[in-house]
Amino acid sequence: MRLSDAPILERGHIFNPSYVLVTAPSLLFDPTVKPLEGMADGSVLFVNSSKEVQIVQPKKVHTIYRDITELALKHIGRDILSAAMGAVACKLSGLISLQSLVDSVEEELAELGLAADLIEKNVQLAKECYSSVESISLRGLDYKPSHKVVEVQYMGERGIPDLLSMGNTILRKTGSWRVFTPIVDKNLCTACGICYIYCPEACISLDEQGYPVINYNNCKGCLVCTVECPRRAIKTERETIWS
Amino acid sequence: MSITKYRTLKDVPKEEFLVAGTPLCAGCGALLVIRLFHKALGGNVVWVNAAGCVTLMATFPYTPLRSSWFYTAMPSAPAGAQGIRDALDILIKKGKLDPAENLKVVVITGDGAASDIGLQSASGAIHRGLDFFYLCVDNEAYGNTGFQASSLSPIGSGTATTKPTHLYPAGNVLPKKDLFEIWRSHRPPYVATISPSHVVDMLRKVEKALSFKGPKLFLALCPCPTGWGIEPSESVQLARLAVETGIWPLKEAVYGEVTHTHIPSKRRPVEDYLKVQRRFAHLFKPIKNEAVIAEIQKQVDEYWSKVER
Repeated sequence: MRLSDAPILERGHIFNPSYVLVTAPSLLFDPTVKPLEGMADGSVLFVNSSKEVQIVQPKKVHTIYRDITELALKHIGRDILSAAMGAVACKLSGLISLQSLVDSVEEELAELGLAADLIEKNVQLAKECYSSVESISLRGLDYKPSHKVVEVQYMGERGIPDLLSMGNTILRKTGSWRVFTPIVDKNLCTACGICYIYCPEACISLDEQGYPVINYNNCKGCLVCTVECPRRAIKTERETIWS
Repeated sequence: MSITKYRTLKDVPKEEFLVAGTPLCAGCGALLVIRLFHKALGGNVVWVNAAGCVTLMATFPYTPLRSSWFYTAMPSAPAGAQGIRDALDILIKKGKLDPAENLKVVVITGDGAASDIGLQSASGAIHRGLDFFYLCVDNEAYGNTGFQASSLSPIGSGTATTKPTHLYPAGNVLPKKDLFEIWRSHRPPYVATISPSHVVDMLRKVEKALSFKGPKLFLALCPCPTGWGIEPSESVQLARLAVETGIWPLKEAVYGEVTHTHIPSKRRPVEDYLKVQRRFAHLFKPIKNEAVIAEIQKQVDEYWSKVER
C-alpha cells in the first residue's frame, strides 16, 4: 500500500517498502517470498512472533516482534489476523488515528456481512494491537531509534535449493503455519493407521509397530488427523515451537 | 468387483510419491486425492497440470513430487499429454527409451479447466483414444483466482461471482454440469467418480483403470477449506458427507456401462452437508431458504430414484 499527501500515480508492485509486516516468521527465510528484499536502512520490519528471530539481511532495519496470533485467539478465538495486522500498520506509520482505524474495521467487515458481535471482537483486537506498538517515524535515515537495531549480513545464494532434486518442498518448513499442534496420545492410539492415510500432507509416517510419527517440520496443523482418528487419540496444543 | 489387492485401509500402499511442504492450503482435499491417487498409480508418472490452484504445489524452484511434472495453460493439458505420450511412444519405437522406463501420462486439472476452459481439448483427446489418465480435482469453483463460479459450481453456492444478492438470494442459479456424463458420452474405457473419504474405493478404481489402454478419467470431489468456508480439519468429513447425503455418487463406467460402487443405504438429508459450509450460509440465515434446499434435495432424490439397486 502507498500513502502520500499528493496524488499517487505510481502503480504495480512495491519494490522498496518503508514498512514490512510479516504474518509468520517462517516467511522471512522463504526464498520464494523474500519479504525483506528491497528494504532500505532505517525501514521498519514487524514480525508476528513471540520470540526474536535471527535475521540475515544486509540492512539496518528497526525490527519489532509481537505475538499477534495470541491476541487474535484471545479476542476472536481464531487465528484471523487481518484487522490485527492492519491495526499494527496504522500505528507504526503514525499517520492513522485510532478512531479512523476503528471506523474502517467496522465498515469493511460490515461490507463482508459479518455478524455484529464478530465485528466488535475484531474492533477490540484492533484496539489492543494498536496500543501494543509504538509509531516509528521515517523522517531521515539518521533517526536514532529507542528500540533494537539488528545488524545483519548478506547471506549470498546459499538459500537456493537444487532445482533437479525431486520432492524438495520438504525443505519448506510449513510447520510454522500451525496455530495448534496435533499430539498423539500413545495410551489411546491403537496403531490403526487411519491418521496416516488421511494426512493430506504426507506428514504422518508409521513406525515399526505401526504407531504414527508426525513430521512437525512440515505439518501445517490442518488437524484432519484429530477429526479422523476413531479413538480421538490425537490431542491439540497451542503451537509454541515456531511462535 | 473383480479381484483386487485393496480390501481394507491396511492395504493402502506405503510408498509416498508426494512429500510435505507444498504451499497449498492446510486441509486441501485435492492434495489428499493426489497423494492417494499417486500411491495407487505407482511410480513412473508424468503429471500434466493445467493452470489452477493445484499448480501452486510445484512453485518454482520447489516440487513436492517424486515424479515428473509438466505445466500447461488452462485449456491445453490434454494436448500437452498427447505430445508427451507421442514423444514417449516414438522414443520407445526407435529404441531410444527402455520400455521399462515408460511413463504413465496423467492430466490433472481443476474443475474450471475440466468443465469450461479445457473441455474441448479433453474431448478431443478422449475422441482420439489417447492412452492417458485424467484426474479432475473438483472444488466447485476457480480456487486460484479467488473462488469464482465455474460450470461445476453447484446450485445455491455463494462464490465470488455468484454472491447472494436481493435479486439472486440463492447465489448460484446455474446447475452443475454433469461432467461424468459428458465424458461417458465419448465411450472411453474407464470413467469414475472418487472421493478422498472413500480411499479403498478410490484405490480399486485406479487399479481397475490401470488394466485399460486409452482414456481413463476420474472426477474427484475435493473439499476446499478456503473456498467452502469450513475448518481445514473438516475437509475429509465434508467429502464423506457429500457421499452419505447422495450429493456425490461414487460410480464408474466401463466402456459406457455405469455401475454404482457405493450406494448409501440410508441417505442423510442434504441439509447436513449444506449447513456446515460458509458458501451455503445464506440458505440458512437470516431466513432459511426452504425452497432452494428442497430443490437440491429433490435433485438428489431424483438422481437416486433412477439408480438400480
